[in-house]
Amino acid sequence: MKTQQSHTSIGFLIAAILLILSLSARAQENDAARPLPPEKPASLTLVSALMCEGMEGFEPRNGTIVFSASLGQAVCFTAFDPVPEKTEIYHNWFKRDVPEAQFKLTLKPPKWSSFSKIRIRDGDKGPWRVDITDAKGKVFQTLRFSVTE
Amino acid sequence: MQKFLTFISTIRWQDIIDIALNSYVLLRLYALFRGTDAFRVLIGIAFLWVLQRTAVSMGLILTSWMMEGIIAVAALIVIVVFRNEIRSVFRARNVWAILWGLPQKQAKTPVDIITESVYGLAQQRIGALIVLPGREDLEEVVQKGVPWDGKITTEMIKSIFWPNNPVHDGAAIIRGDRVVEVSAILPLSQRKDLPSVYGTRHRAAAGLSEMTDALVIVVSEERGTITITQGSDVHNIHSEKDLKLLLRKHLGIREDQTRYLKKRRVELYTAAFVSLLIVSVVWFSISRGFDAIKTFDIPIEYANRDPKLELLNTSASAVRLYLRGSRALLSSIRPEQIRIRIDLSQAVSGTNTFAITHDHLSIPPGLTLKEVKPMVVDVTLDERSQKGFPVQADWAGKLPPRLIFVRSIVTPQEVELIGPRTILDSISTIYTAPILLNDITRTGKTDAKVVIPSAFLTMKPGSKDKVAVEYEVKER
Repeated sequence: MKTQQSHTSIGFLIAAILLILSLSARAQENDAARPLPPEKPASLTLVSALMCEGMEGFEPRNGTIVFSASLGQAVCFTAFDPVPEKTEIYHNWFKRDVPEAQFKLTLKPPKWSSFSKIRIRDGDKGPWRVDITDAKGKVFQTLRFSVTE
Repeated sequence: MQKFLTFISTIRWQDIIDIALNSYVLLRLYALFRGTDAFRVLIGIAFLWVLQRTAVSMGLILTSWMMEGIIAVAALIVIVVFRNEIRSVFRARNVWAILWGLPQKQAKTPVDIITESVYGLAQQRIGALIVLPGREDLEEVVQKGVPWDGKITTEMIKSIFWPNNPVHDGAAIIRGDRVVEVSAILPLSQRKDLPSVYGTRHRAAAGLSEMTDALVIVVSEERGTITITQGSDVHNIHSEKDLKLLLRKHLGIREDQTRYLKKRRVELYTAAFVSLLIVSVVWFSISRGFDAIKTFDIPIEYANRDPKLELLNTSASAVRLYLRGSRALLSSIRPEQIRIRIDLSQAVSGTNTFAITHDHLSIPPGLTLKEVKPMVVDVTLDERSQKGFPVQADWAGKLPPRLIFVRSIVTPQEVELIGPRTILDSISTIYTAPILLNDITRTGKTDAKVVIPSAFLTMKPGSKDKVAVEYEVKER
């Protein structure tokens, strides 16, 4: 009688172990079947923006906020990193709040630098600004400068 | 008839008072100055004025100018020449008499007693000099004598000129039924044509008559003759009847007093009617004569605006009014007498349109509005709001070529402005006054005034109108 009880206990134990193992294996199967949550893509980020007198080997030369009209040009340089996908940004040039020029620039992943340039003359003297925006008009940064004698 | 009734209905109670008052003033002037030389000259001037207006209406330029000049000079001459007469009119009466009282006849002068006395003196060869003043004041001409104020009797007149009487020299002045003054010294005449037999007494009588409208009776001590001087006339009296007649005429005494008073009353009523007629004609020609149109540019006043709203814009700051009325009235109107006021108490934010109507106008009586341009005025109001703006330094001048201007930082970076929402929304940056680069040689700091871009905007209370600007330069 005692031996029969011992056999029953062993049987329960084995059954319990088998059940646990079975559930565990099922759980692992479910985990493997469920897709991972999508990783949030890194957003378009402006890492550098400055006004400069010109470009030299894809690098801005002489960053400044005062341009002599005799210089003949002003350059707005912007660098984005990362650029998750091909997109467009705008350089909107204003003289005393009056729109003077708009440049549409295309950015390509993974990172991209671009610039816009305007010619400046004597009649352009005064305070200026460049709004750097995305296609929807969101302003990344505003650069302010003056055109002087 | 309908036209007449319409015309009558336009007359206001103020117009009636206006006409009545001026008619009364004219009547009073007539009552006070009637019979004087000044009045006759004034009538002459009025006639000249009518001629001048006729000349103007006929386009006789030179004649109208000449008439105008004559009238101006004549008016001046009247005041200078008739100053005594004018003064005596006002001095002889109190204010009440000037404003209201009718000219009262003074106590009746006893002509019979004077005549009897004068003849009595002549018979007794007692020299005498008796003055009967007219309307003019004698004060400036006669050297003051001794006040007497005695009721006229034959005995008293005789006693005044009795040789042993201390006051027998000089003239006795009679007013009404009283001798008011004796021993008065009269001015001597300088005339060369007087008879050589006339002595000082006669010359004194002639002197006063020449200068005033007084009548003077002279009794010659030597010859016992009676002489009367009046104006430049010298009459030798030969009978009591002649003397009485002259005295009565001078004193304005009529035999039939009732009839005379009735005549005076009729004359006064006629004068009142003529005054009313003259003033009415003048008044209607000035205020109702629609013979001219004149334009006035009048600035619009905007009143009772809600303090929360700002007057941003108006389509017109002034309107042109075409007013109709008589030429005389229009030429006397000054633009300050006309007002256009638009009540903005019901106006709302945005554009409000107002049609200019009579309710907005205040124009002098007697004028009517013919046309107004523009007929409609747009008034734009906007709510007051507050907004922050980035401040940008406005660099100017020329930076030394060896330097590069690397950056500048403005502190504070933003300023708060208050003003109409529309204007605030139209601005994105506030700039400083130009900051000169010429003297910059190295990195440094400066202050700059903030320029408010619109007169409608103000800085938030407590804000400074200056910002600090730090800048960095480097060698190229």
